[in-house]
Amino acid sequence: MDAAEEARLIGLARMGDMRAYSRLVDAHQAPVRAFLRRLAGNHADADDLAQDAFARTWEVLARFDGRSSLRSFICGVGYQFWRRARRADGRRRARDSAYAELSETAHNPSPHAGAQLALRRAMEALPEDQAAALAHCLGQDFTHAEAADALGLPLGTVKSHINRGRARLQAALGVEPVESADHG
Amino acid sequence: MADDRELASLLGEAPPAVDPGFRIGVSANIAARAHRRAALVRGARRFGLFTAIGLAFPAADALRLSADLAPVAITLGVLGLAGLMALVATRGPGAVLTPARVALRVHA
Repeated sequence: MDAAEEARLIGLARMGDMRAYSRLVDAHQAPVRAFLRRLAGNHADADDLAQDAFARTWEVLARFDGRSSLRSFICGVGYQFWRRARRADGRRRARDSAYAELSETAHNPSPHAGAQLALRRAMEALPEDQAAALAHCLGQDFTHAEAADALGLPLGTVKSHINRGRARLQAALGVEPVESADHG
Repeated sequence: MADDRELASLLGEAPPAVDPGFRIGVSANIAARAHRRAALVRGARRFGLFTAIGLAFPAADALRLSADLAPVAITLGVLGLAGLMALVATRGPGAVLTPARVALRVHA
């Protein structure tokens, strides 16, 4: 979807056109859900958060001023929902996530199950904004600048979060840290 | 096995590009949130109305209305509030606010 078409759909959605907003949902659901899946650790919770993020964005679309991309704006909303959920009931979520991890590895044993669990635990040990910066940029769906907009952080902070976070994830896998190319 | 894409795929699989079920879920979520918000507004209005009705009695006391006048004044006050509430419920807040604004402008 090009920028002009997106701007037209945003204008229509602001006036209450649900069909225009549905097209925006279709255009942006994949990167937003991927970001929240990396952050939340299980697909069910992540997709619930993504739905809440899109629903809340519909309500506050008037606040979107076009300085960042729409998907960065939606991810920023999703990030706030994730933070709230994480703080609301940390112990229950840890238990449910652990159960979900065990279920997934028991019923769909994957050759990478051990690595996935190790990475998930390393991710949960990271500070929130570091984990969010990594979740944005690892899949290369978002540039560093978009992640900075979504999280409300300076660009330099995002880059250093990603470098440090990446090193910790690689250490969790027991590999030497490898710097990836900067894409932001 | 440690570059960014591999780390990303291990952390969380990206969904298929467009999932119509997800979009339908978002629409349902939006409708549910709108219903909840409308219910909160209705609840707040009812709370306001009954609070105002409850305040009619101490107001009558504060105005030192006579024993004959107080029940009449309170009844008229409560009926007036109930009428305003019915107008707001049937025609929206504008039905009460717009005439009030016009009246204030005329007298200002």
